[in-house]
Amino acid sequence: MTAVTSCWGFSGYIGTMNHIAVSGQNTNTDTNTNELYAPLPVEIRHKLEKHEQTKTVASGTRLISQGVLPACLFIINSGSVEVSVPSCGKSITVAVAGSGKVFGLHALVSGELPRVNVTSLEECAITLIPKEKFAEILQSNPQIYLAIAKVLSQDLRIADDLLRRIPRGAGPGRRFNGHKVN
Amino acid sequence: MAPAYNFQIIENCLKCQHREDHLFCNFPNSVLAALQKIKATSVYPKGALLCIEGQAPRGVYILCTGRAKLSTTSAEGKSIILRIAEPGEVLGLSSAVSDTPYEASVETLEPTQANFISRTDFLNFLKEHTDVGVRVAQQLTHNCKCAYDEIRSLGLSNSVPEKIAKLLLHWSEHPLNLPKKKPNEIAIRVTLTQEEIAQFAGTSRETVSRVLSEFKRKGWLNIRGATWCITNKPALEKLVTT
Repeated sequence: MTAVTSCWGFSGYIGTMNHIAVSGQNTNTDTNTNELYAPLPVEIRHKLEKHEQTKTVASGTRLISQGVLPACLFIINSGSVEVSVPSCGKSITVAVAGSGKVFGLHALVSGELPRVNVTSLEECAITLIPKEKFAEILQSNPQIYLAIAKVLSQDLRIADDLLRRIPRGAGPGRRFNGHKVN
Repeated sequence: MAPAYNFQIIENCLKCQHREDHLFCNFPNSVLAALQKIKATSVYPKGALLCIEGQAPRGVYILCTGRAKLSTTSAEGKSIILRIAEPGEVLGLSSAVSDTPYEASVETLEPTQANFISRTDFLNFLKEHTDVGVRVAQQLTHNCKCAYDEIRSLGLSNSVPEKIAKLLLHWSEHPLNLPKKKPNEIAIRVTLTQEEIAQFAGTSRETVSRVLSEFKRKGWLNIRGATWCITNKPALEKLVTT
């Protein structure tokens, strides 16, 4: 499992004109492996899998909205989603994430409202776990917290990396390599 | 223990008066007793480097007293401040959890007490206590929130005055308890130099100087050494559009 954790992850940005793509290559043949499950023991994964629901969403579907507590944990199985920081009708793209990425953990562990939007860029297959069910399993299996911490650490690294890349003094309407201001 | 640097050194986490105020210290006594066994207390002068960007993660620091700046180097090669850490925060957390090099250099902005915990001890502490797992997740979420706010500020703010107004408003959330000359005055302690404020706001020192002079001229701000008084908070709030 350790090898899987290190090889999938968000290993870096693939810069394009207007977005940062995050490589989320899952080389494991186990299709259920994602950044949260990868470090977990099999028995805990099975507990989580019992509550999974799978769904296909169309391009442009908002999975997480800024300021709205998500009802589920979202795992991207295929397709890509955009993570963006919105403000007053404008937004800046933080990352484009692919299969294996998990969303909804921040709100679930802190109860704080999301600061970002997560929107599908194409048709995506996703897995959902209701937050109440996840919270129940979390309570009886506290070792999940280390896996959660690893996911959140990765999110922080992506955000910090973008902070390094934003040219200082850039304002709205100015396009710069690796990310865009809409 | 005798006071050093104008503050009392807190040797025993169980007897700390601030434990309920700090996110990572407000644990049950049994957890604090375990923390007490694995932490090493140190006091640092202003300007001390706790860890350096790119260094292998030796462990985490819990900031007990004082503040520290987290800085890194931008893609353009400039030094930038990611954020200012406040007492109660855990520094080096994401690197210790994921065994990756420290993301930022941490330098104390004032005399500081910090408790160091080695990475191995910290991970065991995290695995053994559910409460610690919850706080670690909350701290990382808080750090992400700060990073997203900073992205919003740097990427979407329209002007440097807006960015500096945002900084002042953020700092005003931790006011000094000083006698007020005017009822709406908010006193804050600013230990950053104008150069450091420029690194935070993504501009030049000269521009920071000009904007602060403008704020003073308009009667929104008074500066007396490291003590700054915000005298017109609504005016600063009006500047902020994002």
